[in-house]
Amino acid sequence: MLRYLLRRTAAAALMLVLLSMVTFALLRAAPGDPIAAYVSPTIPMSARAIAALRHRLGLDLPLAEQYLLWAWHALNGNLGRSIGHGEIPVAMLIADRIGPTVLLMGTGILLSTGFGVVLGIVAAVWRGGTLDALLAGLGALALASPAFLTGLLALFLFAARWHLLPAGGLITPGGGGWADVAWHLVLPASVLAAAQIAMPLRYMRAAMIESLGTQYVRTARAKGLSPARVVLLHALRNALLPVVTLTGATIGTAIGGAVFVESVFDWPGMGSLLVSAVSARDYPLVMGIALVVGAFVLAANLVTDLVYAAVDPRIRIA
Amino acid sequence: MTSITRRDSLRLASASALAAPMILRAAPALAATNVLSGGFDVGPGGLPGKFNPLAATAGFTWLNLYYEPLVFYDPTLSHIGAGLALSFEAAADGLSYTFHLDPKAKWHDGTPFTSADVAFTIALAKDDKTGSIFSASLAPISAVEAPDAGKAVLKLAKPDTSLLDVLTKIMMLPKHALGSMAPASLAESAWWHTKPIGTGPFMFKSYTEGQFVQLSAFAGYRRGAPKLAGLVNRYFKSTADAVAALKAGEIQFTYIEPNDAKLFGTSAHDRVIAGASYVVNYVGFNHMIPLWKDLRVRQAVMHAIDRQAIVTSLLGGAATLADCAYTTGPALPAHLDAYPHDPAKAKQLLAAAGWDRINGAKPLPMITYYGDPLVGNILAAMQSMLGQVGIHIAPRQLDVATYNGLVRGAHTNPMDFPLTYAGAQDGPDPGVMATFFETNQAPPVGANVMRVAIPALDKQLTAAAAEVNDARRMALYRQAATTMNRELPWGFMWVARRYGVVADTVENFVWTPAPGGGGYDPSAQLWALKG
Repeated sequence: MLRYLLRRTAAAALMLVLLSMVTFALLRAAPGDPIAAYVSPTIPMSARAIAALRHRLGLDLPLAEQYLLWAWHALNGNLGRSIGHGEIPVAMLIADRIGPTVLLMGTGILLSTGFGVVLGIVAAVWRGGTLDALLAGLGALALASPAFLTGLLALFLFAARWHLLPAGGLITPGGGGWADVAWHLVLPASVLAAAQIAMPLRYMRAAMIESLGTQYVRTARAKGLSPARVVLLHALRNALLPVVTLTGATIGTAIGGAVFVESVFDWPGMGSLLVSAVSARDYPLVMGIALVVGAFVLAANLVTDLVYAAVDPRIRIA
Repeated sequence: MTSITRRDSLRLASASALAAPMILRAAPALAATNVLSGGFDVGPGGLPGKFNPLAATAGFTWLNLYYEPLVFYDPTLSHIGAGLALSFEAAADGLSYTFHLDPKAKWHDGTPFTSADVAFTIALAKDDKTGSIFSASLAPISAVEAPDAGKAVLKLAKPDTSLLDVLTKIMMLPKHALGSMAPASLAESAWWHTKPIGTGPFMFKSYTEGQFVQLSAFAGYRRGAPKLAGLVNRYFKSTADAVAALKAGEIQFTYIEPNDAKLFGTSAHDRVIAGASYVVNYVGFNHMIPLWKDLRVRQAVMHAIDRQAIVTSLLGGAATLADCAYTTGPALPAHLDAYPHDPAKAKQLLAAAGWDRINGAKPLPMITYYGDPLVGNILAAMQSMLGQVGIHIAPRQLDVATYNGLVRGAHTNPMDFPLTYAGAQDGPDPGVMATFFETNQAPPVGANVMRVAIPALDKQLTAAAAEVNDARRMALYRQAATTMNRELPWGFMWVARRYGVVADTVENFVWTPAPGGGGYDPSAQLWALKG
């Protein structure tokens, strides 16, 4: 087990180095640079001031040196300073934003997986009926609806029109506390969950139908167990395995979805930070976010594998 | 154990749906009272997340609430008057300006504001090492003298009549708080977003990363204590988000798009504020390539585009046609060629210039940094109109960094941007246009990204900037405007109006869509909430 963990960690470290190189190369290949995003079209800057700024930001160094310098600082825990966010340290910005993103993503995944599993069971138990057809239709609709569109619609209806929920943000200025955060979380987490519910629902339905047709389920029924006991205790455990795998894989797509949802709901997470960093060509910030998100996804995959082994005793990690 | 029935599932779902609104309505409401919340950094005049006024290219609507400049524009942007300086006078030769400071002015920590702070701020703003964006604009200042605590004298190496306009954007900074910091470390200092002090009616209270900034009233403000207890600046990713928050009653003010202005215009609970954007939109001809050397080709572009139709149908009438860089004020000449829509004339001009020979049907990229659908439609309309006379354009909407990288790049291929659709600040002081047109203002020095080189225009703009007599100065700008109209360094299009909306519960609120969001006196100490 320990050897497995060490091997996976070493592979993850190598992946992160490669990820940082690719991100660095893509950023420098993109047209424009932080100075181009910084300069105002209306207030002229002297050539000397631009040169001073370029020097201060280290943009006048050869590309390889810029990368090695960034990597050396990153190894020492220094991710640099954001160019587009008032030169605040990148680590500080990420530390501020990672909590809201994990909260939003975690709640979204929890809701989508939880409801997906329950609705998947319902669809499987009453397969071929009206409810199954309705859930299939809703799943297809959720899959086909982009998160930003659903988000805008939800914002319009629940915040602007019916005044039921806040129109974005994480807390009320002058407010705060868990209840306030939870109140602000309802809409973005629901939108994120709605965008992702179709997959666990369909996976669960298929796995459950297969599970309900097995010999051991038939035996359980023959023993006179209640339908609920048969479904929830006997069929569900095996049917859950593909959903566990899916949940691990969902984390990557949830981050992608969170970028849109955070932007629509002004949720102060890493997704919205990344969007503004890319448009400002904020090299240190984009690199820092890529590194942290990459590490997060790799860690989540590792945890998924460990959970998979715990859920299914047939799997042994070596 | 009971079995799961379809009826049970539906019962549970119905009960949850019914309970949800009740739970939600019980959630916490807005905590603070007598606090005005707004999207002060929404729209083109905003700059959310930037706190250092030396590096601020915009965002002055908000910064002006806790920092103050020496001089302010009035809210109509037609006159520069008192700020921290109650009065000022220019020497007859235009080589010095004397500012008489408000003796009641104090920093938020109670320290008196003096001429030493003026000298300190100007020195920082002129120093490239601080990351200041104003160093080039303040270059004419050769010295700052402080004969006594209440008087500051700015000495100039050469007359610069646009100096006062620049000074409306230079926020005074406290020497006693920042004087011990090395200028090179200022840009990275946390002071700006943790404990800044200014002299404005409100004091910095807190910044919640990526979400909002809070200010509280400064009881010792020189013009009287503010009526509001505080202000909140909410950050929004888009105007649509801010509008949703306004409709939800979470904020009382925001910038809005022209289409929303129609929506709010009929509202009984809100007041729409309109004003000129002071941004002239233009079709930029890249003067580095020979295609546009012939004036007849540039004239043909003007006659081919039905500007009035675009303003009426796409901009909803919320724009004024521009025949030169200016559309208002004393720099606008009385008689200019209006270049009416005339496709037949455009074709004749192109034929006379030999367009078929010099370009023909080859598509020309037209780039813009405007990413919104409205501009997409405007460019589509231009594509169709220009196509009818034989100029085939390929519009490309880019982000700001890509656009700037292309038009400002030292090694860019000029054929990457033979045409642009862009905007340029054209006021309130007409002198701001010099950076877009003077030959010596080509990048990286200035903003003459189209590499305009018209000697007569250079001469007129330089002479106007050096003229200290206001009437003669404006006459020179009118001459320059006439040259612009005749020579068409750009294809001048229009100046759009911009809008804000404020809830009718807010009294004495002053806002105008100024370039960069400010430079005008908001008199924020008088803002109040009804009830």
